[in-house]
Amino acid sequence: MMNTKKLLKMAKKWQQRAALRRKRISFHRSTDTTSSSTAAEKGCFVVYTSDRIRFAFPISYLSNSVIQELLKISEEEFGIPTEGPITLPFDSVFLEYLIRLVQRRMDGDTEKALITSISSTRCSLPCSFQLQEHSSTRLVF
Amino acid sequence: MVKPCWRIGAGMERSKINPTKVDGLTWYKDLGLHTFGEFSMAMIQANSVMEDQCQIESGPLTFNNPTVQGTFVGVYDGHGGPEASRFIADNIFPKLKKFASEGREISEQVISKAFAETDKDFLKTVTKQWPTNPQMASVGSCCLAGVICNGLVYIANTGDSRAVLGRSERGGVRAVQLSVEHNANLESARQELWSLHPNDPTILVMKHRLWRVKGVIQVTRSIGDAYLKRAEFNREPLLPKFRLPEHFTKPILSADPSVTITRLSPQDEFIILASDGLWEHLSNQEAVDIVHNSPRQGIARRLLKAALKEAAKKREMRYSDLTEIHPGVRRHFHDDITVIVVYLNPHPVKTNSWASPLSIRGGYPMHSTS
Repeated sequence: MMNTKKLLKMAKKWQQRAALRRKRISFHRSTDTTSSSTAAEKGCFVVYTSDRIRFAFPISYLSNSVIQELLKISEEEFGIPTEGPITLPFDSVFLEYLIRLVQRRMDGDTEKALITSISSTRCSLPCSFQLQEHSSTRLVF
Repeated sequence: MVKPCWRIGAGMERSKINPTKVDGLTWYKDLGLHTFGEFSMAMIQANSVMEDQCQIESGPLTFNNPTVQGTFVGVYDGHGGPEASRFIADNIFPKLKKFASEGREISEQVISKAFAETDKDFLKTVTKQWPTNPQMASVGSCCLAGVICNGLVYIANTGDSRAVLGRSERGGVRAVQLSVEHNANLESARQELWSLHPNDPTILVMKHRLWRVKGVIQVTRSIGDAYLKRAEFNREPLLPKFRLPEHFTKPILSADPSVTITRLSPQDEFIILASDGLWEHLSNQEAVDIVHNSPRQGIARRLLKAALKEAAKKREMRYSDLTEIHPGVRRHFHDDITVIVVYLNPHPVKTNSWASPLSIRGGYPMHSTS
């Protein structure tokens, strides 16, 4: 089991790296468009962030427990949408950061810590800007 | 471990002549014969455990009057777990037969009694299991039952599944909804609850842009959901999210079905019975048009596919990718769906079906990740 101190240190490092790379990060992201004009990317599912940015991720990401947690959070916040796409209650900067972490293939303990941290802090996280400001008080961020 | 398995109900011995199939998360029976014509069934799982159940029973509807022949169709859309919907599938038809035997006929009262006793018995099970399995108190199910008998179709509904009749009309087909639904997002259901609970300002609460009874559930009537029927379950160790902050004396949800009775005419082609997972994506008219304009073989699967294509479109993804998603996480993309299409033959093939009672059960259990 990883100790908290080590985890915090690691998270800080990730956060710095994510900040550095922010400008270079490129997913299939686009600004909000209507569903009729949006081509469905092959092999992908789509989520929107609170700032109306569209992300398409490979279907295989759906088996990742962090992604599953994000969908659960969306369900708790907004319910399962019956008419449109899935929206996450986070902004695009935060989602990009999380996806970077997911892509780095965390070990099980780190992943669990991340999920716990997302779950326990999400209520006070309307955007990632606040998240960064409060980073020192939270387990991972 | 994901393992596919399924079973056919009481008509097990008929499995060779009435094969049902499983293809990934889909269970289906493309075409079969009931007392008054053909039928087609299909189900797809989205939850980690399939919560929908369904059945079709054709033949004698009493134990003591062989002249009362007909078809019974049930669609049970469970929530909070599969136990309530499975319980209904195990119990409601024998109860219907029992009450029908007492009066030697089918009637609205017989069907309502079968609903009431099924709910009562399920609540007994909840009480029995409370010390070891308290979460059973938060399991419930919608219950849609159709009985076709003696030129009449009885549609009894508790919850928000739906039965729609396809009536031929000037070269086309018109959708006639036969079921009355109980969902807080329908004005009529809200009015009913408000009038039953005039002193409870929080009987209906808007959450996620949808009305919910006590802020927790959309259906306003159901089988099960003991925590909303008896105050004795509104306490620990039931999970806090199901516990209501205030004490209640009057049951909040009821199991009473709304029953409609329709005399069938030669223009009545078929009835579609389906859980709300289908109606979320297809309108009544879209569904009857598909059935009217397509071959009978595999029609239930065709409706299922039409609904899934619509679900994929709403999520801005391809249908082929949607079908790759595993149960559990798949619930974020669509609900469990059950659809049964019952064709109505104007000239019942009585002699054939009297000789061969039919019993098919769908959805128990399909894939389980446990």
